[in-house]
Amino acid sequence: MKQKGLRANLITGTAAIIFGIWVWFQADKFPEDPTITLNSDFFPKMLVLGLIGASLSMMFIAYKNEKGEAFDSISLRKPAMQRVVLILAATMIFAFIMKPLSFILGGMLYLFAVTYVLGNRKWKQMLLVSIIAPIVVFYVFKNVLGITLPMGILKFILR
Amino acid sequence: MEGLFQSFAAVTQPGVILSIFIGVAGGTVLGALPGLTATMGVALLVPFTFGMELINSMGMLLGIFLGAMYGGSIPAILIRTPGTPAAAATAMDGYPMGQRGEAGRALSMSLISSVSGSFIGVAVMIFLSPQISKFALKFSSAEFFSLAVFGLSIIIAISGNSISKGLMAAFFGLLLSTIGSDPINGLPRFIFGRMELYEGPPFIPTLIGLFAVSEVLAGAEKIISAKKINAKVDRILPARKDFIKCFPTIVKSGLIGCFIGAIPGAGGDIAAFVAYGEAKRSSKTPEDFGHGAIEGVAAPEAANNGCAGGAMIPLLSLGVPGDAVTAILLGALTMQGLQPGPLMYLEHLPDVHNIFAAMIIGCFCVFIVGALGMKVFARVISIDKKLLLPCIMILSLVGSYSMRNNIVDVYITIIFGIIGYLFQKYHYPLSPILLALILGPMAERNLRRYLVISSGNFDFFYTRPICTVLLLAAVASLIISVLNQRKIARNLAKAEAEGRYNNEFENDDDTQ
Repeated sequence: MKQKGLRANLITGTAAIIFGIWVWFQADKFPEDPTITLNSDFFPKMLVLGLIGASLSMMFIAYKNEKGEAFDSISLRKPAMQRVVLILAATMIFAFIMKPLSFILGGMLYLFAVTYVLGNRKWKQMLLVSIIAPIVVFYVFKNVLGITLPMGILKFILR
Repeated sequence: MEGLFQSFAAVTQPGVILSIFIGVAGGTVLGALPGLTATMGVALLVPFTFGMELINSMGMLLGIFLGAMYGGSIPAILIRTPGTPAAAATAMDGYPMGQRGEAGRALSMSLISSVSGSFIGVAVMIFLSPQISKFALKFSSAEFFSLAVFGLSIIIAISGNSISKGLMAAFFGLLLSTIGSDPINGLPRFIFGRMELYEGPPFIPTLIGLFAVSEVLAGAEKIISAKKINAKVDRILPARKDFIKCFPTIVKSGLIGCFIGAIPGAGGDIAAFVAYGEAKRSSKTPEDFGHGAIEGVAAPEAANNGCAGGAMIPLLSLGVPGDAVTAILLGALTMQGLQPGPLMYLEHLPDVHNIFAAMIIGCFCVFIVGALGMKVFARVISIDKKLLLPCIMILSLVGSYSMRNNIVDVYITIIFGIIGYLFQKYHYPLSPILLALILGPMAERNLRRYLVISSGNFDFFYTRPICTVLLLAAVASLIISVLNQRKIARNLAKAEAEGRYNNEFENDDDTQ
């Protein structure tokens, strides 16, 4: 348990340090403004130093911690993690197809797919929610809030 | 006072009351759903307010805030699973009451205590925040920088079990806040040619990603079947005898909650446990606590709702949010063209009065919505997560899109959702990121402005008394908050070990 927790903390701490170093080099590229004493890179660099200091301190505390921290590991072999990845993939696809296909059609497909991934097998309930929810959301946004969600290929019907 | 009466006239327009009502109902439903936090609820509902007129949108936002604070107690009493961490203390006596067949008695006491606590908090807010803002008008750049540090220090201190992880999250959030134009010379930073980022990461999509999308992903990982409610809700108002018995506890706890809530970072959970402890200490029958004492429901509920008014004090008078929920309110109000802080009392006094009036009307709405909808909210807890989570995800994406009708905001939401999920997975708190996004620009702008004026001299640490006090207070609060957090963690662990409530929250700082 201790080894697993320590490894996770060391990995995230190292990632934060690498991120900090990358930010430092990016900040170095900011153009200088000769009219002011402190340039645009001053504050980000100060923060990078803070981030690196905090990361080192976290890793040191994790190393010293006798009991160790308990983490759920990220393993794609676990069904729970597979669910998360599938939902993320579905969400990204939904974001990509929302504009061309329309929010309503994309939303219907998305809701059906995600409820299925989450283990729901009540087909009637799934169909009903998948069809009704996007239509309700679309018309609430359009008529109550005055915001038109993407109409895509349905724009001739929804106008 | 005259201005406040005028605001009452404006806020009692049917459209505004309806907005507050809808906000309270929405907030209560989301607060009542275990695992869906008040922060997430407010984040999710904020985009719905942007198409509205300022007063309606403000009313709805405050309604959501008040409703979410109350909603957490319902599942705490019925299924021993607090809807919000602030309601964890309520479960300790509320659930045993429900088991004894007194769920209606516990719920009605929770409602009346919540409403009373909210009124107390709002009254103190109306009285105190103008006084603090008058004092804050003397602040210059150095003082505002010190204030931002003070706000950040406390937030970091209550960031879960690891201070260093809280610090890392805060520095990460502060770095995110440097994306966009430089506050002094306007030069672009870290935008990599994407002009959408020139004004910084869009606030609402970022917070929806961090607090809603990440929660859905975490929820998808551990699908728990909805619990069946066995308790019977047979009354909506407490008996006169119960109310008279609990009245002193309610007043005392409301005041405790308000003053604890006014400390930036000290949220409803701390207030609820402090008030619970005080109620037990001063009770003639302390042995009843933990076994279904009605004061054990009244005290935490009055305290965590008193916190709502308290948390608004630093927000309105100093522009510093009291907790994650008020940080979202601050962002939402800013996007509506209002900049909370001392200058708001000079430049937008009618809006300040509107906020006061809307909070008071909001308290009445909590009572009406709570009384009428108690039985409905009790059923909401049983909604199947397999249907709920995809609907929340759709609302999150649509909410982000509707801000600017820009699909890039949807991508940003998904990215921050993944970041938030990974942060949660590795026990990094999310609240410091949110608060750093708000306090970061304030800190940088004022520090650099001061250093430009003083030619790079850092002497404000000891030459300006307000700065010295604020910075020393930051150090002191850090130490005190750490000690308090440890105490609460011990109490929670003890209560959980004794099986007095189910804890769905691993990092309570992020689940307010």
